[in-house]
Amino acid sequence: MLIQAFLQLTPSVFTIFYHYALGKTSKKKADDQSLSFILGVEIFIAITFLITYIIIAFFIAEKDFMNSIFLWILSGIFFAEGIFILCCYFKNGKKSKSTTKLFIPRSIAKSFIFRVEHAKNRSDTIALGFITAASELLFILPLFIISSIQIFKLSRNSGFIFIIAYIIIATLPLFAIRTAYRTDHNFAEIQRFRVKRKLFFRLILSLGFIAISILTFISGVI
Amino acid sequence: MLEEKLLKSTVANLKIHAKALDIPAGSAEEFIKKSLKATEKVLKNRKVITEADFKRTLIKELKKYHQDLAYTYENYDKII
Repeated sequence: MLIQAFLQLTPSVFTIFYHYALGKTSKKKADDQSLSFILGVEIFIAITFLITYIIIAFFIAEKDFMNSIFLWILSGIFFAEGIFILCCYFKNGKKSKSTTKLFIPRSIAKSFIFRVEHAKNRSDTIALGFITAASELLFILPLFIISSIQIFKLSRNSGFIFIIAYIIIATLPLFAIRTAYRTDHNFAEIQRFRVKRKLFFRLILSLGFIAISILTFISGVI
Repeated sequence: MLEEKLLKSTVANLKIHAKALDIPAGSAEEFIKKSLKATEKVLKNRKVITEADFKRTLIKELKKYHQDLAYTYENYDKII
């Protein structure tokens, strides 16, 4: 779950969203809207995690599906994502060196910025948070699958606590950015901080995915 | 001659960034006015002015008045 906290699309959209909200409305309203954005992200994580858990629990309980081949395929997916993050997560090139541009197509990035600029009310903001989190599904779905497999082994109460902890930890970066804005840091300072630590985020993410890949492979062997 | 539409949208955008950066409205308007004037002066003799040329020159001029405003204007569409 810590790995998801290092993904960069949602924090990037949130950073520019809060900045725009400060520019268009009052500090109090921007702060309220930021909570709506975070709520949208949390709703997406909760819904998708629960659906994934139900499907995995069905396959484990009813179909006895958790065989080695499935775990090896999952391990392969994690490994591929780890390598992809290491090579391509942030855009390479001279022009992208001092930015946090991601691998996503420019048209999609522009549509996010358009949505940020035109989010007017609470429902727009919640939807923006939801869609932003959904855009990282490629990376977070395997994390949900492996977490669901682990939760299935826990008791009901422990599983519930695990899911709540997952949602909170996954949205910690957004709360950190919100706190930074509330303590009078601005977009330029926050963005310079993120650009400086770009390599750190990339390494943590890729090593995390590769480590999960190895652990999943080993559990498939055992 | 810079397109009026481009100038209007740039000024509006810069005012939003300045407000978000907590720059007083009066000072922000001064910075923006002076930077745009200097930009027009620099690009006056060019036959063709692209949006990229305009943005690059404006950022250079803005840096003389407020580093954070220039940085924000340069990078707000390069964050995702």
